[in-house]
Amino acid sequence: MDAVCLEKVTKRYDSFDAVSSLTMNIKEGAVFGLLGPNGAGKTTTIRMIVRILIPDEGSVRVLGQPLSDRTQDLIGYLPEERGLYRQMRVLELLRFLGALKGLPEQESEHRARVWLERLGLSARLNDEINNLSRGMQQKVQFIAAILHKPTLVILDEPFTGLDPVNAAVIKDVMLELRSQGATIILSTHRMDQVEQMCDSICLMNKGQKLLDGDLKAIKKSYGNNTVRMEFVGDPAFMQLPDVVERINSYGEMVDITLRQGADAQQILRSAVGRGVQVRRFELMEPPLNDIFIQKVSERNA
Amino acid sequence: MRKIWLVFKREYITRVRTKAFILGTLALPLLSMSILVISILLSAGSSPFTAKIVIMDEVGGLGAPVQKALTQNERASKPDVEIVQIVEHPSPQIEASFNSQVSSGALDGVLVLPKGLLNERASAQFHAKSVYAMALMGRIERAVSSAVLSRRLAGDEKQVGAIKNMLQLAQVQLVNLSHEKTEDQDNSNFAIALIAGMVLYLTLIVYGVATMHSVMEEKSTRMIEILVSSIKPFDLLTGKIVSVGAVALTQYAVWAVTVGVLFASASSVTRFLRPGAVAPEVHLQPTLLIWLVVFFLAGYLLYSALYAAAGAIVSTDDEARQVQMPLTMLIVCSFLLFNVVLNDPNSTLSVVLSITPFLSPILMTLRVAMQTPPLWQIALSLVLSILTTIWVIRISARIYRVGILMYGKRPSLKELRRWLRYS
Repeated sequence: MDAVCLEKVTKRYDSFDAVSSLTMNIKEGAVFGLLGPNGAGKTTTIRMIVRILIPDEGSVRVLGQPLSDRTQDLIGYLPEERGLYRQMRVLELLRFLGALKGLPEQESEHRARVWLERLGLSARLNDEINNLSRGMQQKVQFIAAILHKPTLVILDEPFTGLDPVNAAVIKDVMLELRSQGATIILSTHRMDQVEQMCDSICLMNKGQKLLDGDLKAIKKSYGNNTVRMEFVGDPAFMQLPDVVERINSYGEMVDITLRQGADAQQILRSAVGRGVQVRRFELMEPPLNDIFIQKVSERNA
Repeated sequence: MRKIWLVFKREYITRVRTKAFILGTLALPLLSMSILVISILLSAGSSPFTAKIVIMDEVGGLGAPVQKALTQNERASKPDVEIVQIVEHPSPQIEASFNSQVSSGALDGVLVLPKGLLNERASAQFHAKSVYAMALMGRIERAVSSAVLSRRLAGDEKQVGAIKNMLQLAQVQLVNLSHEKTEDQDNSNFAIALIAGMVLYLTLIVYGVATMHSVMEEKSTRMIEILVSSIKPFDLLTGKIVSVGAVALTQYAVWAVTVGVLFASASSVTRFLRPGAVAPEVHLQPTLLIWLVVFFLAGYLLYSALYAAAGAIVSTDDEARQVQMPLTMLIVCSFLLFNVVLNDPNSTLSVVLSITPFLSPILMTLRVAMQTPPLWQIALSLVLSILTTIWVIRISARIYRVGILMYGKRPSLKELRRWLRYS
């Protein structure tokens, strides 16, 4: 059974279609990456899944059922726009939000205590939200999204604003939820996180699907067409128009996309011939970042 | 239903424990307590306080009749006015020395009857310092004019009969005002109607705006997205409106109980503060209280739904002020029409206004407080109000549903119409 099933879903606004005829299936028990540039329609899509928006056309099913009050309680949602009632106390707020998702109030409070303890907030139980730092507020909001043990967890940019330590804690919790059988939808711009965590992805642009499927399969379909190099010396050795299609430079490191059928060894020979000192030379699948940029610019051209 | 209850509970608890609510709730009882105490202390009727007054009679022979008129009809055991001395044709030095006694507090007042008083070339003067003596002004005025009149009458035999008749009439009217029960009742009804109207007017605005800010808070803190992913917008709106209304009713209940206890104990408070004084009486009909609550609810539901929609379409306080203007004007309209209804609660205009939706909550309450209008009018007014409310809530809920997720520019009326078609 699919955790989420969108069938030709369209959401129209006055002047444009935020999402047009989108069909997408998300397998149960996977971490699913929803990718796309700004304004691609990711947030609109998510809002339709959590029933904040109602699609103009098409159908949305969650865990095999059409959306209803019951499916609402099975979903946990961390919106991209962060914010909580400022005047409420941490424990009180989590108790309320848990209860709103169908937990008995006592149980909600109990679970909130456990999670606050785990995320290092147990000293702030009775502080007003106002008095927490942004990072702490974000952790409280994350707890609110998972407090009721949702079967489907939707996280919109969960790591922005978190330091590496806290980001790692959140990541661990996410993977733990998946191992317990939950499905996780992750919407983000950070390709490195997607590559680390996601099993499958959907790449959106201008309200439409560009590409979707199993992440490994997608990458494999591009083949080992990328050379990752680190070197010291003149970068002129890379000017091999017959071999090199594109170069992405990251300072110390470059990713070189090869023309179809080209031989990567030619680059290495050219470098050695010019006396460049090569520290790293790796033939690999293209990074997701490249696929993303290539796909989006192809479509926009 | 459970979720509406959760929203209700959260809103209610966070609202009731704010300082603004606690202060607002205590303000009215404190205010009416101080009004009660002041009115007891100031009540001129009869008091243990005796004003010592000296009369400077520059006319001659007028002092005695004024004294007689002032001190007759003394109701209480202790006289509240004592004429210490009557000085005929005083010299300026004597007048100055008595005036300085008033300043020093040895005397409470000096009444000067100047030479031109009889032919209206000058008016009598009363020099006084204390508040109690000031309160005697009305009686002094009456005493002086009655003495002056008798003096004038003495010179003109022909008009004696006619003028005495006129005086008689005037006196009958006087008696009526202060002693007849029905007139009294009318006066206190008028006051109660005015107070009831003001209370409704203020609470409708205060709690309407509170609903609006509550919607705006969820928008500005972005809480709304978490909420709407867990509960239907209509349920959220319902929980919110009902809870703000319950907060208002809580405040009403506290006010009703404290003010009720206060006035019920008015006579003992009076005995404590000023033995012998007459306690102020308030005739409050319990039915009025019930109608007050009913019409508050009708008006509140109508206006808070509008205010909630207003809160949903704006993002900043500036925009909020602009949008709430027309709504507040609607309520102010009722306030401006107070006079029409108070002057003649049974005129066709008053009846029509008190049945008109949006105006009816306040204006019908006024009429109920003044006197009991026919039941069919009350019922019609309520039914029309409820029908309007249902219609308004439907429209507001749609605007709310779309508006809560919109940030940035305030929508134009044309866009609003389109919002109505979305959801």
